[in-house]
Amino acid sequence: MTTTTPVRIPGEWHIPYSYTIGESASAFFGALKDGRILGCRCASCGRVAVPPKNFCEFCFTRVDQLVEVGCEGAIEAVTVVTAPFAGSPDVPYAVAYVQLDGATSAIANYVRGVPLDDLEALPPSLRIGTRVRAVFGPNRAGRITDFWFEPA
Amino acid sequence: VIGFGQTAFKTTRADVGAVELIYEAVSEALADSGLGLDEIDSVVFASAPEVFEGVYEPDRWCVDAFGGAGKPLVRIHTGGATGGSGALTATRLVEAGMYESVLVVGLQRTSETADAQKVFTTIFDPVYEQDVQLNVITGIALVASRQMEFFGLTEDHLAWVSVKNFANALRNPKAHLHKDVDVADVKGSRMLAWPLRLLHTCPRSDGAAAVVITTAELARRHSAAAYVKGFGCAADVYRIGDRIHDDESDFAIPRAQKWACDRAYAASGIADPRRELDVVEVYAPFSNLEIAYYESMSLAPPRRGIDLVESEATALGGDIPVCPSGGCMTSNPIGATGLVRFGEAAWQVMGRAGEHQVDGARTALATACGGIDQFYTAAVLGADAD
Repeated sequence: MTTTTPVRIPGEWHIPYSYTIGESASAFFGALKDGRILGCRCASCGRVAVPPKNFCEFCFTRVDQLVEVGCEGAIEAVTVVTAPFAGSPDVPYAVAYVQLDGATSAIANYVRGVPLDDLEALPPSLRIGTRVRAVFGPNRAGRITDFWFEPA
Repeated sequence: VIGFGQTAFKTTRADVGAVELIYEAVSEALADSGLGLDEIDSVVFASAPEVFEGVYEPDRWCVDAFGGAGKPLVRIHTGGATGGSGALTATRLVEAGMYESVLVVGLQRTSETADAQKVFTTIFDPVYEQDVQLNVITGIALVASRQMEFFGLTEDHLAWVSVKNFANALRNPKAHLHKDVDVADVKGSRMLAWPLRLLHTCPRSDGAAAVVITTAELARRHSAAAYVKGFGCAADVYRIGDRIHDDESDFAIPRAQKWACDRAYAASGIADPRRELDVVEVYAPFSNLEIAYYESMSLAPPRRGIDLVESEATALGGDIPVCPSGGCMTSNPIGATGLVRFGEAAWQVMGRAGEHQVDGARTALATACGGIDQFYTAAVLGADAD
């Protein structure tokens, strides 16, 4: 009996997209360029969601009030990524969800300005509850990475 | 449930193409059920992230391998929960009286693309989240950070769950990873994203599974059957940031799983799951998630998932064994995994689970989860029709 060597045929998906983000998100990214962070307030439940959208999924009502929230807040969830994944920044790097002052939801971004020498333990300055502030870069492209968090 | 088939799970099954993997699982399930393909009235194809297979509309591609030509066919897709959702859909179709016997088929071929996390990044919001490079491992590490801060989770608890599941997998010939793993191995394994290490996570597996679901009347005439006593499912909101915590819930203890389980327990008349369930096949691809799910499955009191670790209750031989098969920490063909949990639970109550059988199991819970803690299914299976 002959042995067959299994063959693998290469393939690739490369499909460019252009995501239409709507007016609420467009306002959010416009404000980022000015160093401000916007959310939306639901008139029905009072939740302030960051980033904003034009409806509240909890009340299922239309939301049209954009509000500015604080640039400081508290870490709600955190990780220090130590294994490289395709497309990710150089490791190690920290990512956190932060609830900004005046918001009722949390938003994810990188956390910088914290030494990440010990990869076995979480640096105390990244612990949940720690106060951080949004820091805006000099060249703002209207993307979420226009800002990051640093210890307040 | 009168038939279950699963391929052996491996990193790469180079000997067969993807559709041939399906054929293998379906043939085994049909043989197990004693039904011929002509006795299957409808097919539910449970196929999750097809980006792994790299074939869009895999239902077109795979239809021959499950004998779908000429039959009513639906495709189900709820991320990792797909297999559970497929079993639920088939059960509902039979309950509704639409069909007598329905075949559920799950497939995943994770080895076709080089970087799983690159695929998973695309399930995050392209507007706000993808630029921050969130993926499944980092997303679940964020869950773990809250468990450590608020729910008493330690590195010892994480290691215990990993060791338990690897030990169980040694008894399951179909499991992907067969290796002796001790606490030192887990604690010494590579940190991926604090606090999660390599041996806290699941492998990427190729594999397929199939289940035959029929009416209770037909099942009673069958030599071995498991009966679906209750099914529940629930979805949660998309953004992690919108469900971090409120007065009643915490992102670390997924409320959608509790909603799904509560519905399944109510439908099956279960008041005290810890006492009334004999075995659980939970879809928990990370050791921290299994501990969180102990609470959301109502097996542990609020905030005390770690109790079941400390008392070793969920080990094979404990009073509520969880994942005697080794679970998805030792085999994770993502879209098929929920169906494997369901089939394994069915085998447990039929007494057919082999070396990893829980003695005298009469009532089992099988779950599935998808998204980042977003979609859940829960099925209670029993040995008796009534």
